[in-house]
Amino acid sequence: MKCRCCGGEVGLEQKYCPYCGNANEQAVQHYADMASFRGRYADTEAEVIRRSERYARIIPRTVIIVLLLVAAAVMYVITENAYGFPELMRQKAAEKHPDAYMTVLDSYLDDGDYVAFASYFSYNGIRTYGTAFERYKHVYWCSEYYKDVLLHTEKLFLHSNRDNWLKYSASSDIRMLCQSLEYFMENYERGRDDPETAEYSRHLDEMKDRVMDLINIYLGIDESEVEDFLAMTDNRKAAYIEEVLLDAESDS
Amino acid sequence: MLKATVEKTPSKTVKLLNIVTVIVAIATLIIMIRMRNELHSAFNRDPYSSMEYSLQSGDYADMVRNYYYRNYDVAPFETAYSEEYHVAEYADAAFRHQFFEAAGNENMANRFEERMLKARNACGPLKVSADDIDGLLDAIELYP
Repeated sequence: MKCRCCGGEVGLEQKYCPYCGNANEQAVQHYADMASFRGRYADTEAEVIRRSERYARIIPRTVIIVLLLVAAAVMYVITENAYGFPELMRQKAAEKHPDAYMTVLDSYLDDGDYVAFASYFSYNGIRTYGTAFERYKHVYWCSEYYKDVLLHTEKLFLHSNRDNWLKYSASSDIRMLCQSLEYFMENYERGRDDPETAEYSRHLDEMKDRVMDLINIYLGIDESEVEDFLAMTDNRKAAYIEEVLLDAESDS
Repeated sequence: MLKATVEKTPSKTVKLLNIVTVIVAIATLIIMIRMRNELHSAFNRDPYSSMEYSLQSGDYADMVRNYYYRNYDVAPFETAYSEEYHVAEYADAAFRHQFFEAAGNENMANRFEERMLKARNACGPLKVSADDIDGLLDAIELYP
């Protein structure tokens, strides 16, 4: 570049002209500009470092919090469903080895131990739909309600403190017995009507005979009276059975 | 070149995040301990533990309801309530023996009679409950 005073060649970084000694205004401006740029650069650099250090402290903490929250949520769900896991595992085991389980189930059926059959089935969480155990569906549901009818009948009699029971629990136990009886009859009819499960018809019939015997022997309800009994309102059913029980009490 | 100035003291946001991290970590630890306890209970639950209370209140039918719960485990299930368990077994077997006998099913009646005798012998000091059950069954008026 040329000096403005004498026109001699002068460099941008020369503050004074080497020929005339006058101040090189362009160099002065250049130095001022460079100082300004350096200042701004330093400020920007400081700001970038400050922000990155700040984010460097925020981001890991945020990630840790999110991971802990996800872990807590997963553990909470596991906790709430903990009691379902043993049955789920048994269910998976049964579906993995159906033949072994079916051998046991068939042995209970051949023995006529329908309570054991129902208990084994439900304890192992065996599903009747969409699995190899589908053929047992009607006999399972019938056996489940057969077991309920039996247990609820036992409920009517196996209490030491009968006064207490009659006062507080009798009506709900009677209602559950009637409900189980109704469900048993529904499932029995359904099972007998299904040709796909005809091989288990004799077991259904056997269970029905036992249920009829049970309510006849303990409640005095004949097979021909069952339909009329089930058609009664809940209150009338409860009143009927309570009368039977109270008559038995007074006779003894 | 100006020296870069770096923020040395933590900002309010970082302090707040520190507090939140500690709180969430403690909550997660509590949930983890609870999960461990629930899983342990689920896999090691003694279903016969409620039989003691049922026996005290003389509710043999309720004992029978629990009796079936782990009867069909692949491996035998050990319980601290084995005597109560056998009382429940006796109650169920005695009732079913009475029923099958009244129904004329000799085969099943004999089967449950055997089960009754075995259960009674295993009742230990709770044989008095087996006697109580016999009394309740004798009091039932069976219809012909």
